[in-house]
Amino acid sequence: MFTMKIIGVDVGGTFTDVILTDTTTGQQYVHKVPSTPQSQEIAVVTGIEGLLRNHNITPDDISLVVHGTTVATNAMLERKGERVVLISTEGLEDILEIGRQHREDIYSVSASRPEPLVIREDRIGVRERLDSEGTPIIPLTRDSIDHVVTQVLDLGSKSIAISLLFSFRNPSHERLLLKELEERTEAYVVASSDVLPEFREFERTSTTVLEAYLGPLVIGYLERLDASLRSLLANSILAVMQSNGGTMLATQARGRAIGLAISGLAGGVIGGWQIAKQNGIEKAITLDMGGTSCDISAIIGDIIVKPDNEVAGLPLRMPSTDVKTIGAGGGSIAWVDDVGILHVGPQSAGAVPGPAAYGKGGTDATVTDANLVLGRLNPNYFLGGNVPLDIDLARAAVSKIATVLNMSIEEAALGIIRISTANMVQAIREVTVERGSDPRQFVLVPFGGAGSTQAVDIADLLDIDLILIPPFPGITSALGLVCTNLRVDLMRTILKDANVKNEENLLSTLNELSLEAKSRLEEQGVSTADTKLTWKIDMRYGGQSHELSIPLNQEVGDVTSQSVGHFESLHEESFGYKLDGRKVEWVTVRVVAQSSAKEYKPYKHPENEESLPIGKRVVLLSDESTTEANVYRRKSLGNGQTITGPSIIEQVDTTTYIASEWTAEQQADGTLWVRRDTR
Amino acid sequence: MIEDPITFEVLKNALISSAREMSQALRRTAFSPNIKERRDCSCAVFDRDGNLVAQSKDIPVHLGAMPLSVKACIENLGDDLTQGTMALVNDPYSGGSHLPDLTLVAPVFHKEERVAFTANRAHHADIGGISPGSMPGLSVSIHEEGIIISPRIVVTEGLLHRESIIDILKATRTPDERLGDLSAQVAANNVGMKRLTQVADNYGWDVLLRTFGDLRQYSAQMMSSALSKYDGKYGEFTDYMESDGAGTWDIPISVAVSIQDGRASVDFTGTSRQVQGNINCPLASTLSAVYYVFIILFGKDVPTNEGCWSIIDIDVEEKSLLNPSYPSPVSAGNVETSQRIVDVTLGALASVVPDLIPAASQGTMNNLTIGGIDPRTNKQFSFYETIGGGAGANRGQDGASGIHTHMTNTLNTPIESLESEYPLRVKRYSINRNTGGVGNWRGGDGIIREIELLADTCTVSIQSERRSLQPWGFAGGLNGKSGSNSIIYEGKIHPLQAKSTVVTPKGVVIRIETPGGGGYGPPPTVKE
Repeated sequence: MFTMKIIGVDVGGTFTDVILTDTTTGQQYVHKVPSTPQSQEIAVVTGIEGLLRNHNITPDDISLVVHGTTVATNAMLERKGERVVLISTEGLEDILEIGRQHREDIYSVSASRPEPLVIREDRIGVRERLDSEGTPIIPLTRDSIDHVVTQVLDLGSKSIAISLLFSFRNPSHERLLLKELEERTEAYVVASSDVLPEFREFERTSTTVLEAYLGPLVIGYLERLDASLRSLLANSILAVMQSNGGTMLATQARGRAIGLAISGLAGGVIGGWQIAKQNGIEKAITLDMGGTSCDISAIIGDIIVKPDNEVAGLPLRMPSTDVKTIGAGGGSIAWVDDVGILHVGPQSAGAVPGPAAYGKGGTDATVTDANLVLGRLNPNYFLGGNVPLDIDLARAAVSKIATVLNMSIEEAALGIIRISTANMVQAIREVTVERGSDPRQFVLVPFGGAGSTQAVDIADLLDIDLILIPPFPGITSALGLVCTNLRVDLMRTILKDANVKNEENLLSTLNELSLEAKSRLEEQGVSTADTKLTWKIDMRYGGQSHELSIPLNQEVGDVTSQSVGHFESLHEESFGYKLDGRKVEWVTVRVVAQSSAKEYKPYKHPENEESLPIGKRVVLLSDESTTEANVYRRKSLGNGQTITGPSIIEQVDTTTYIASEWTAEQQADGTLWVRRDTR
Repeated sequence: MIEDPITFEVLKNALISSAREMSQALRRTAFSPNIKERRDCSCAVFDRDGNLVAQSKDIPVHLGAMPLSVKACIENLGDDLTQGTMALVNDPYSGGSHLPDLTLVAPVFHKEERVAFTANRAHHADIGGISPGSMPGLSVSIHEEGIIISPRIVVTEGLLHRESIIDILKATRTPDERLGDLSAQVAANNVGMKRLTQVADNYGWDVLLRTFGDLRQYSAQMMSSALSKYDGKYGEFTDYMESDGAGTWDIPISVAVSIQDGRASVDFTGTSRQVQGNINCPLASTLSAVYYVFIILFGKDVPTNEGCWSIIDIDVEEKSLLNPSYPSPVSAGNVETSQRIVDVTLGALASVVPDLIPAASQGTMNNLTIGGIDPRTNKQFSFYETIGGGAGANRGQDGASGIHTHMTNTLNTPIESLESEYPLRVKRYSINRNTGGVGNWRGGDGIIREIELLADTCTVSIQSERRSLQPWGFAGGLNGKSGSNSIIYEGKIHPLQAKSTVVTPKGVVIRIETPGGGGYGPPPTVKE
């Protein structure tokens, strides 16, 4: 049976969130601790310990921990990965630097591109060559191998990427080098034929280099975490969220670190979309605003997984959830530039020292300080009172900004909120308006610790009328980790003509991958009986170099006519024509295995009577006037209770601000609708 | 002026993303590496009169030039452009650029009325003529460069008709590939029409069509207000094409630019008459190059459409190098001369906006075409690519190395695609170190590319520039190194001309070294 207690752990720049769900009862428990950016695993472990202790849960009952990590993302953003030595075919050492020889911005006075991750001195050419069929035309000799190993040892790098021409056709030269380098050096060694066995040497090389760049850091982290968790949770295994929304056993991450590039972001998108889906919403903007960053995804119908991605100007060809990140969070620091313009972020005060109001030594004004000055936050109930806020410190910090700008503290606080809001609005526009979709047709789903405090400001600027707030906004990313199906995605390029003669080859590849995917899922605790398999094959007309993805029915025996027929009709539907008589090719086989039995049980809001406000608080409105807002507690709201703005709804993990001309309604599934009053 | 700024913004971006989706469809369904891998193609949406409304940001030299192709189709075919038809054109004397660039134009209808056009241009790897690839090193008449296609209808009821392109398929050395690529062009227009209709269904055709006009006005105003800051400014500049491949060297291009009342006047008086060789640049490509310069300097964030250039008056004499007459050959004009037009226009504008002007970039596209019989299939093949070089440095920034600059932005051919599809082998592909001009900021370095021919009797053509005249440095920066072409035969290197066509045996290696970019500002270590 696939029923168990599952823990989800999401590490943000400021807080580490832990959620525990019981798949049989649907019960959820949550806990939040400050992140430990220098070694993320510390907060993960203390967070889990805290949650178990608070709710008297036996550690041995936990069967699975699903983890979303930002270790890889941060390394790319800060360019703090391992120094990499790149081994390429002789004469082609500059492929990484030349890229595809084009520029990103065609209307720029100066053509430019980011610096390559491997400097010229660390790029080694090896004498060997395969032709386009994978046949060696220059063999890889013992001498060449020794020469490479000597050079690598001289350079003394801890990480090595091997990317030889046509290795996706014949990996033998790469394998030989890999084996030798693993035996004769201490380095983390990866080969392009393992990381991305696809044609196009630049894309394969840059993706392989990124694996080498991130690998030592990510693998080291996961190994340390796995060891700590083993001693804490005797019966549990550790799985990690991948960028594509699938999961992977932490012990299998070696050589696959790059699949975790945006691990920490995928959970939020999944969690936010889960909340939207259970309310029948078709178009949602998920906005995960934590302490440091804000992750935004515009979803129409279903989450998009893009075939490639780019993080901090680094292209990676790995399937990734479609999400945009900007440096805007509760901890984002306000600052004034030389010309006298106010900015907010991207620098963040993080968890340490945190906003000035934390009283931990921070003196810079942050978004949280501004919200406190404006009366939106309760100094005695931030994180349920666990983090007391000092309003005097917040005012002192904001007043520094006010003095420079020659305005009142209140004006400065409003300014900070306006700019932080504008930054998020701009990012939302990029994923909606700039793609030709109209944000007014979307429902805003704000979460993270800070999302629902500024949701109405954002909605006002975008003319959005509907906001849906999750039951526990502060831990929605962690919720995404436990409500997603465990999933393993595998692919292999076969490149064969689509005809009966090659059918056996196709089927054996499909079956092989299916077995492998099932066994990897089984290692994550899913029984074969609960595993659902999906088959897809990427197809094209011979001569094209881009494919259409065709689903294959495993029950229907005649794969050739099934797939070719489907391909031709999809080609016609997508592009308006088909080419009769042209040969069709099977290119890449894709198998997805996912657990089918784990049904996510939505949270149930307690059945309360309508509750009265617990008090009143003076808030400053956007026109700088003040008003008294009613203050409520989220967990005491009655099902169906409506609350008119201006009001404030407090809960342990966040504070929701309802402005005038907005009305909120608590629902039985725990979510809260916030609707603009009809104008 | 604009009633609802949010709707305006959404529609603006919806139109741009329609064009972008057209580009994706074209690349995804194309057959030749030049389109599917190198993306030598562009897509755009036009109003009912053929004015550019929105474009995908692909190849600069295509975009200012495409409206003339659409207008030529409207003029020549008029009411024959009915629903479900598409027209094909490549005639450089009727809105085209050079013969390999085939433009396919599709009218968009709403209630029996022609309300818009979608169009796309793709560079086909062979369109006939005296040498494979249709980019000969030496041609003295356009008829030597391939088949001329005056506007004609080739698609009816959404279907490409083989009979209507039978002469094209006969002229080309690679008919199968042409058929596949033309089908991809049909696909791109289909996708564009579908997207436009979706947008119109959402917002109404009246709103969408009004936005066409609003966009144009908006861009014109933005450009005009940017230019008005430089009222009364004037500048002039002369640079040279080093050869036409047919016996003329050092061919001047002169330009004078003046800014008055938020408008620019660009006068090419003093430029050479048209020449015998193929560097003559058709008017459409000349306009494109000038528009490009004004967009990068004054309209970087302005939506690119007809409005941008409605405030630029360009004077270029007929039968001159930049506005040649039939039957002058033109195949290198669009790719080589257009780069020099950018150099001189930037040079002239140095008196207007000195701090914005970069040093000269490589100033060539290094066009390489190779054709022959592929011994693996016994079929004819035709390979075409352009090669990046050094970008000029500008104030505050070194120039990038091994990159495409100014009028082109095509990708390289992945070696793994090139060797799979052609009897060719890449021996070396690297940055040519220290070829960028020295300066306070350095020019970018060029590229070395060596390709071995694995078939006998290949025809190799090269169209290149800056092999003797170096890309200039600016504000005290030094010139970039010029490039070179050569052939390696039995281990010995033999130089090739900047414009050449040679027939080669199996086993030779073609070596192209592309120019470095100019440096900016005096080098820090210069001694007096």
